[in-house]
Amino acid sequence: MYSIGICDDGENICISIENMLFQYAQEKNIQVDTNVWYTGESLRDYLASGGYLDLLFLDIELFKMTGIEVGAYIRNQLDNMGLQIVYISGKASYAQQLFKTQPLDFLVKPILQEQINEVMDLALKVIKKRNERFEFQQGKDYYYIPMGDIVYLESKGRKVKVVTMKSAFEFYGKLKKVAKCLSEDFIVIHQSYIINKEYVFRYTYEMVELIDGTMLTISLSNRKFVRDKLLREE
Amino acid sequence: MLDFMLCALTNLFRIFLIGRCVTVFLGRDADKKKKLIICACFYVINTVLFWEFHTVWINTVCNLMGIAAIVRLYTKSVKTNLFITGTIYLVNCGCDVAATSMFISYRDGEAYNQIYAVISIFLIFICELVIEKMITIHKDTEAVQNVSLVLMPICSITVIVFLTYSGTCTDIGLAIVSIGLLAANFLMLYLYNLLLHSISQQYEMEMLKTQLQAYANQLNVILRGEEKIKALRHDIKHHLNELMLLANKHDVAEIQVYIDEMKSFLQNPNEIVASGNLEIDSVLNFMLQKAEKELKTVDIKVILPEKVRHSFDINVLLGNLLENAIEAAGKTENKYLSVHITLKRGILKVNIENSFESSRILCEEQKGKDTVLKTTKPFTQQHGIGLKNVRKIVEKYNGTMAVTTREGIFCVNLILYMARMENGM
Repeated sequence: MYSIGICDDGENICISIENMLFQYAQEKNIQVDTNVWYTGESLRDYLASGGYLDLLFLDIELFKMTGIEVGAYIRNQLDNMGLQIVYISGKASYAQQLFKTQPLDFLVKPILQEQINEVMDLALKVIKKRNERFEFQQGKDYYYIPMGDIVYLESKGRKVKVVTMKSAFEFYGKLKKVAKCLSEDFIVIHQSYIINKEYVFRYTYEMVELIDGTMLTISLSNRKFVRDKLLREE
Repeated sequence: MLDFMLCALTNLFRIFLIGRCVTVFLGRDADKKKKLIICACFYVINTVLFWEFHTVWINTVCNLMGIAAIVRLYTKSVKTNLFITGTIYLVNCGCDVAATSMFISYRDGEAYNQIYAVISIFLIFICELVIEKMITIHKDTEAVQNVSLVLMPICSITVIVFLTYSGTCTDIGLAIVSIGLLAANFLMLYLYNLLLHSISQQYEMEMLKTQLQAYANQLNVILRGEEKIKALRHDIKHHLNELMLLANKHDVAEIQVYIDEMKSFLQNPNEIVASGNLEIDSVLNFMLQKAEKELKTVDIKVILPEKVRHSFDINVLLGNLLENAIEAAGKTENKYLSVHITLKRGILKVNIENSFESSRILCEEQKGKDTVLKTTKPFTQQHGIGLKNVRKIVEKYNGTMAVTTREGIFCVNLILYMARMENGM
């Protein structure tokens, strides 16, 4: 079951997207649960009160609170990096701030079934990868966290530090071994750092800046490797 | 006195060559004023020390330090500095040894030491030209000019060697001839520089011309769009009346047709890309208008923020790639072109695919790791500059490019790093 939100001030657009989503769900034999909001404020209130969404189709030009503001609120105030945002808009030019919210994709109205199918394929892939479990042992206890929550992993002597947006864990282990059981969202940038690509704010050839402002150096020997990986992804 | 002049001149020429060599090695120019000051100091100190002491170790130390100081202007990396300084000094030494060994049987005397220096300087000149050729082989310089350039110092050496061996010339005469040849060589190098400069200027002008054309086109696109909106606004009452009449008749199909007509009227066929970046939209619309006219399938996706830095370089890159792609696709039956441009996490990603005739084109040549693609165009000489410029820009932004082919589809994939971090090493 995937829960999908649609937020647009045009009632008809919401209905048409909803129908296309049901069409897709039927074809792929999956369950989707859709929610519709007509204003940014009502959507914000829903999310603030703990409402959960996997995917959100968000109109950029809303009445008062714009899609840009809602997107920024989700990422910055709620610290929610997992929610996949697809912006919808009447025009194909996008403000700088939109890119800071790491959207999954952009769609220009009128939206076609093909486009919805394409976006859904991509979204489901991303969501699945995020939900894969990462397990480690701390003392006698086993811990499981979704891989999508991990921002980066760091090698600290004989320990490995796992950093998420909200907390950090340490356990005994080797980073090289850990690297093998991580999904393809992760990339080794240094012999003591593995990052989750979903949490990268921006890359340069030499460094990576993560969403929380952490700056990590890509080691000399890994720069070409990282660049080639980035060239080939998606 | 004449000897001193010769010594001073050869030294001047040598330091000029060293400066040029460093520029070639590091591929760009440093602050001109600073370079001039350092070169001048180096020159004065070096000449005085050489003339006063004639001691090997003082010379060596002075030269090494001077070269290192020049290189230091370009790079802060000690390793690179040591490497370049070492290489240049070794070349210098090698030429000196070669020059003196030519005359090992010749009688020893101070006056003729200066003649060695002159010959040595010509040898260094040749070496410098060869190095320049080797390093800049990927760049677009013409081969013919370089051959004539190398011939000049070779001729000079021949003349001097002939004059000294034949003994038909007095010492003073020899010195004067040497000074003359030095001056001639120096002037020729200067003229050569001017020529290169004017070639690159010409190229830049050409590029600006294309850019201007693209801007003019974009202006047209915008104006036409505006005109249509004005026309529609003028007629809006009429349209609404018409729709109302149709709605009263409950004629849904007719309403749909009417709305579709209005829509297609509003659509500006020349505005294919509207990302909000005037510069990038200009080039894309300019190139893609051609594509839409000539090709069957054109698939475009551009997702860019409204403001993109370095748009000039991006334009050169896109312009070159699209020109090639559209031309190649036009010759095929499928006539297929796909352009995807996105900016995500500080990385500009460009993916251009086009159909091509694999039989006519290109042989892939494995040259080390790089795949070198040969052109489909009949005149190979004029071609390749476009792709070379693309490569240059990709390198400038630390990016990388992959060119692949599959079943009649030619695919260029590249990324550029658009962000700069201040404390990045």
